Amino acid sequence: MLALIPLFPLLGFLVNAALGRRLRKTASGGLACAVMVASFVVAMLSVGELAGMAEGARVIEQTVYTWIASGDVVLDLTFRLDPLAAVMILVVTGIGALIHIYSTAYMHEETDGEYARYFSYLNLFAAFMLVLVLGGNFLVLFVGWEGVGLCSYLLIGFWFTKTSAADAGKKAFVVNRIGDYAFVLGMLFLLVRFGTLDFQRLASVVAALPPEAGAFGAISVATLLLFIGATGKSAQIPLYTWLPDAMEGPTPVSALIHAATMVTAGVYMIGRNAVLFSHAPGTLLIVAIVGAVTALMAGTIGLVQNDIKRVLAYSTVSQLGLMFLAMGMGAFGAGIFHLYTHAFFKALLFLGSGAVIHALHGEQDIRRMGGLKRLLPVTYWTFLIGSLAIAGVPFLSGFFSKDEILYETFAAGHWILWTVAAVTSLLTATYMFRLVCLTFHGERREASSPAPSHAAASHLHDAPPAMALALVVLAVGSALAGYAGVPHALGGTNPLGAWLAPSFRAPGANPVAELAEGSGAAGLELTLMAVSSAIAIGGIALAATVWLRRRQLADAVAARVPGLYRLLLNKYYVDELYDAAVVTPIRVGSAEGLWRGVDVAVIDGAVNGTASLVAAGSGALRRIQTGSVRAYAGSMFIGVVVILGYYLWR
Amino acid sequence: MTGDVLAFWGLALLLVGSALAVVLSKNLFHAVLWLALALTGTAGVFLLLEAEFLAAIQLLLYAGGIVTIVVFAIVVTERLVGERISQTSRRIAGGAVVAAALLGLIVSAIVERPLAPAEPSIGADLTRTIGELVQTRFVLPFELLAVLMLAALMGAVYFARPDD
Amino acid sequence: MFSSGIDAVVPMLCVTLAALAVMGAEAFRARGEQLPLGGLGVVGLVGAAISAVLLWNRNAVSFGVVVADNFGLFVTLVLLLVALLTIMFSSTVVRRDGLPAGEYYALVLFATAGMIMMATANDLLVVFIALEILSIAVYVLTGIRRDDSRAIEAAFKYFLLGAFSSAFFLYGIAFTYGLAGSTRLDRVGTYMAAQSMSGNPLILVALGLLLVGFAFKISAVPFHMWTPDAYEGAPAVVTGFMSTGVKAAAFAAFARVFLSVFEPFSGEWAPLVWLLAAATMILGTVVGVAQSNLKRMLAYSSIAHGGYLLVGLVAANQVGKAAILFYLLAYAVTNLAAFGVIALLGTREAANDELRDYAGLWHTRPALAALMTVCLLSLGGLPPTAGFIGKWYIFSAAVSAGYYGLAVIGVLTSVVSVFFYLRVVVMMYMTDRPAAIAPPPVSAVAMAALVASIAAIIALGILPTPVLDFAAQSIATIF
Repeated sequence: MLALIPLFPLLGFLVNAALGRRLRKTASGGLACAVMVASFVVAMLSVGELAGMAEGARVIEQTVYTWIASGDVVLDLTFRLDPLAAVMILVVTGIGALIHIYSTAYMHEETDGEYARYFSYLNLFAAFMLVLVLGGNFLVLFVGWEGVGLCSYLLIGFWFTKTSAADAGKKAFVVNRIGDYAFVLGMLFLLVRFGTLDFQRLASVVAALPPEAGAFGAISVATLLLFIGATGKSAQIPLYTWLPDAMEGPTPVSALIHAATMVTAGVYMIGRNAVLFSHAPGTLLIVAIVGAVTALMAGTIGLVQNDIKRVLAYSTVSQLGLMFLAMGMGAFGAGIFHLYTHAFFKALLFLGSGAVIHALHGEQDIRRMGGLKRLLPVTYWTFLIGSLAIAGVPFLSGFFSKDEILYETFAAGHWILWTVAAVTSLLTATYMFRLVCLTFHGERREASSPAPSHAAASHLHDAPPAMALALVVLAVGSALAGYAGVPHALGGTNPLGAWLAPSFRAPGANPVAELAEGSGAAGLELTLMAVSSAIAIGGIALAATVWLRRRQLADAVAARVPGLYRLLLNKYYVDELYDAAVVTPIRVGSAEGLWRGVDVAVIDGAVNGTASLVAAGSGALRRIQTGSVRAYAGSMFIGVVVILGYYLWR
Repeated sequence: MTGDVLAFWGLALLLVGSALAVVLSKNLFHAVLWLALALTGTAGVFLLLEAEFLAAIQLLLYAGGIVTIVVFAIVVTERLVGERISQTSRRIAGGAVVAAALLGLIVSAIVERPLAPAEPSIGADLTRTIGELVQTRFVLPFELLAVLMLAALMGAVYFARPDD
Repeated sequence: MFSSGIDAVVPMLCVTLAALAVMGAEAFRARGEQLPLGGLGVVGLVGAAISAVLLWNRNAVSFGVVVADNFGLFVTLVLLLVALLTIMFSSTVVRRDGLPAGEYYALVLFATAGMIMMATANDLLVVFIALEILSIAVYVLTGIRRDDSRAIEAAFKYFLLGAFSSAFFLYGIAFTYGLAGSTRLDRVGTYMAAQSMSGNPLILVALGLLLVGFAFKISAVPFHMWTPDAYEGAPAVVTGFMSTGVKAAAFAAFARVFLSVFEPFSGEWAPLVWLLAAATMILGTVVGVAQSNLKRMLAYSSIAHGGYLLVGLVAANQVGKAAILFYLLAYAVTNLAAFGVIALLGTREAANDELRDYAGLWHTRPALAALMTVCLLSLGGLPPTAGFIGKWYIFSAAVSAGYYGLAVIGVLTSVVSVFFYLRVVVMMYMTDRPAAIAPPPVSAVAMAALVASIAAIIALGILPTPVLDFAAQSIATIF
C-alpha cells in the first residue's frame, strides 16, 4: 500500500504530461489535485495503521522488488513507514494538496498547455519527495533527492521567458548538484565501509560501534559528506544562495519548495540517520554551527530586503538554520517538530504573499504596497496568524517548536549558540512584522509607482475561493499544529516527541530514559520560554514602532551605517564572491583554457571545407600539410613516447 | 656471417636514407621513387632472412603494384587540380626529436634484453609451407582478409564513381 | 568435425552473408527501384542474434582463433542491438539524404561483422584484421555524404589517424609475437604468466604499444583528437553507430587482452590506465561544457564515457568487470538513441545539430523532445535510468577496489556533465522557437526504434538485476 502514496502523483504526472495539451484546465488541475488528495488519504490510512501498532515496533515496510543485486551488495526498492516518515508524508501530501488546490486558481491565466505542464511538474515534484521520504535505503532516497532537484529546476524556471527565472532555475540545479556530489561520495563511502545502504541495517551496525568522540573517523567523514549534500538541498552555508533566487518561480512553487518539500529533505535526512550522526559528534557540532550561523546571517539579510517573497525566502533559510541547529544538538525531535510547524506557517505565508501579488497583478515590492488590510481581509488575517506563529508568539505553533530548539541548545550548554538562536528569533519577529506593517498597514503607496494601470482600489479583489480555502486551512494549522508537541513544562506530554523517538534509535534498542525534561529542568524551561516570548513580542513591537509610527527612523538608521546597510541589502556579496571565485574561473577554464587552448588552437583545425569532391579532397590534402592532422598525429606520437618512457625510464 | 652483417647494415642505411628522402623531398614524384627504393630495400631484408617468398611478394606487390598506383594517382590528381602538387614538411625538428625519443626507447629496451633469435624450422619449400598454413591454421584470418578487401574496395569505388 | 568447428563464427558469418546479400541485391537492382535492403540486414542480424543465444554457455572455439565465450557473446548481442537500431534509424535518413542504400547498409553490416569478430577474437592477428574491417567500413561511412565537404574531411582525418594508430598496434603485436612466439591469446597468456617476474622491458614495450592502439579506438585522452572532428562531420546516425559499436568492440578486445593475457602485469598497466581514465573523464567533461554543437558536445561526452569504462577496467574486481558490460549496454542504447534523435531532426540541406536548433523543440516535436530528455538524463547518470545504474556500479566497483581518487573524479565529472546535458533540455523546454523550422516527418520504423531504446533505458534503470546477473555470469566465464 505504501507504494501507492508516491504512485498517485506519479500517475497524475504521466497523464498530464502525455495528454496535457488536450485537457481543459478543470480536467488537468482537477486531476492533479485529486491524485494528491488520494495520496493524502492513503497516507492517513497508513499512518493510522502505524499508530495502531505497539510503540517501538511501528514500522511498515514494503519491498517492491530487488532493485540492484550483485555480489554481496543487495539494494532493494523498499518503502518504509516509521513515525518519522509518517510525519513527513502527512506534511508533504497534506500541505502539498492544499498548494495544488491553491494553484488551480493562482495559475488560471496560463494557457491550457502551460497549465497542464505546470501541474505535471508539481505532481512529479510531490512524487519524488514522497519517494525520498519513504525510501528504505540511501539509494531510494537518492532517487527522490535527485528528482526533487530536477523538478525544482523545472518549476523555478517555469516562466522561462523571464531571464531571471531561467537563471534562478539553473542556479538551483547547479548548487544542488554540488551538494549531490558530496552526497554520492558519502553514500559510496558508507556502502564500502558498512556493506549496506539500508537505513535500519546501517543504524544497527553503527549502534554497535563506539561514538567517534575526539577522533574524526569513517562515520564522521561519511556524515560530513552527507551533510554537505544536505546544505545544498536545504539551503545552508555555503550552498544556500539558490533558495532566495528560487522565488522567481510561481509563488505556489515557492510555497511547495520552501515549506513542504525539497528544503526539508536535508533536515529529514539527518533525522533519518540520527544514529549515524549521533556517532559522529564532530559532524554534529559542525551541523549546529553551520545552522546557527546560517540562521543569523539569513535573518539579518531578511531585515532589509524589499521584495515580499525575498524576505520570506531568507526567512526560510534562517528557520532551516534553526532546524539544523537542533539536529546538531542531537535534539532530532525538536528539529523535526520545527520542520513540521514551519511547513504550515511558511506555506501559509508564501500563499498569502501570492494572494497579495495576485491581487496587485504581479507587484512584489513592499515599498509599493501598504494599506491592503481592508482590501484583502482574508489574506490579511491569515497572513497575520502566520506571522505571529513564525515570530514565536506564545501558544501558536511556532512558539512551541522554536522554544524546544532554544531550550535544547541551552540545556546542552551551548550558550553562544543559544544567544545566536535568540537573536535570530528577535530578527524573525522584526522582519516579519516589518513585512506585515509595510504590506497591509499604513497608507496605500501603489499610486506613486510608475505602472499604476491597475491602481484603482476597486480592481483589487481578495483571494478567490480555492486560494482562500488553502489559506484558511493553513492558518488553522499554523495556530494549532504546535499542540502536537506541548512540552512537559507546560503540563503537556509532548506526544510528537514520544511518537518520533523510536525513529532516532537503532532498531530494537531500548528507549533511553529521557525524563530529564519532565523533572528539574522545568523551571529552566519556563524561564527560557518567558525570555523568548518577550523576544517575540519585543520584536513585533519594535517593527510596529519603526515601520508604522516612525518610518524616518529606519531610514535614519540605514543612513547612519550605510556600509552595513549596503552589505545586508547586497546579501553580504556572497553571490558576487562565488561568481568571481568559482563561476568565472570555471567558465574561462573550460572555454578558453582546455578547449580553445588545447583542443582548438593547437589541434582543432576548424572544419570549413569547399564544395566539390575534388576541391574538398585537395582542401583536405592542403590541410594535412598546414595543420590539424599533423598536429593530431604529433600529439599521438608524443603520447606513445610518454607511455613507453613511463615504462622504461622509471 | 660477416657478409650477412655487412649486407644488413648496407640495406639498413639504404632503407633509412630512402625513407627519409620520401618524407623530405619536395617533389612528390621524387618521393614516390624514393618510396620504391625503400620498398625494394625491405625486400632485401627479407632475402637476408631467407624469406624468399616474402621478398618476391614485396617486390611484386609493393615496389611494383603499389608504387605504380601511387604514380597514377599523382598524375591524375595533378591533371584534375591543374597545378603541381608539392609537399612541404614543417616542424622537422620537433618530429625528429619525438621520433628519436621513440627510437631510443625501443632500442634501449632491445639492447637490455635481446629477443631470442628464433629460427623456425622451415620446410624444404617455403612457398608450399606458407600456402599450406594459409589454408589450414590461418584459414580464418586469410578469409577475413577477403572481407576486409571487399569493404575497402566498395569504399574506394563509392568515392571514385561519378554522381548518378 | 568441421561443422562443429565453425560454430563460434556463425554470428559473424550471418552478418557477413547479409552484407553480401545486400551488395548482390543492389547490383541487380533496376534503376529507380526501391529495395528493402535494410530489412535484409535485419534478417541477418536477427539470425546472428539467434545463433549467439544458441551458443550461450558452450564456449565454442573455432580455428583456434575465435572463441564464443559468454563474454564475447554478451558483447556480440550488444553489437547486434547497436546495428539493429542503427539500421532502423537509417531507414529515414537514407531516403531523406539520398544516401546510396546498397553501399550504406552493406558497410554497416561489414563493420558489424568486424566488431563481432573483434569481440570474440582469441588471436591478436584476428583482432587486428577485425579492427581493420570495422575501421575501413566506418571511415567510408563517415564520408558517406560525398556532397558534404565536412563529412569528407572528417573521414579523411579519421582514416589517416586511424592508419597511424594501427601501425602502433601492429608494432605491439609484432613485439608480442617476437616474445611469445605466437599471437594466440591463450599461448601469449601462458608466456606472460611465466614471465611475470622477469622484468623484461620488451614486454612493457609490447604492452604499451597495444595500449595505444586500443586507447585510440576508445578515444582515450591523449589519443582522442580525431573524435570530435569525426563525430561532428559524419552523419548523425553514423556517429551514433561508431560512437557505440566501435567503442564496445574495442573495449571488449581491450578488456580481453588486458584482463587475461596481461593480467599478471596489471601492476604495470593499472596506474597508466588510471591516468588515462582520469584525463579522459576530465577532458571530455570540461571541454564538453564549452560546446555549442550538439554532435560535438556528445562527442566529448562519449570521450568522457570511455573514461568511465576505463575506471571499470582499472577496478578489475568482479563488480568492476560486470559493471563494464552493463555500462557498455546502457551507454550503447542511450548514446545511439540520442544520436538517433539528432539524425531524425536533420534535413537533407541542414543538419540542425546546433544547440540553438533545439530551441522550443518541446512545442514542435514534443515526443522527440521527451525522448531526447530521457537520453540526456541517462547520459548524465540521473536516476532512475540505465546511466545511473551503470555509473553507480562503476563507481562502487572503484571504491571497493580502493581507487578512491578515480571515484571522486568520476562522480565530480558526472556531476559537471549534467550541466551540458541540461543545456539541451533547457533549450528544448524553456526557449520559444525562434524561427518556424518545419521539422521533417519521422518514419514509423525510426520512431519504433527510438521508443524501444527509451523503454530499454528506463527498464535497465528500474529493473537492472536480470541484465546485471547476465553480465556477471558472462564475465565469470573467462577472467
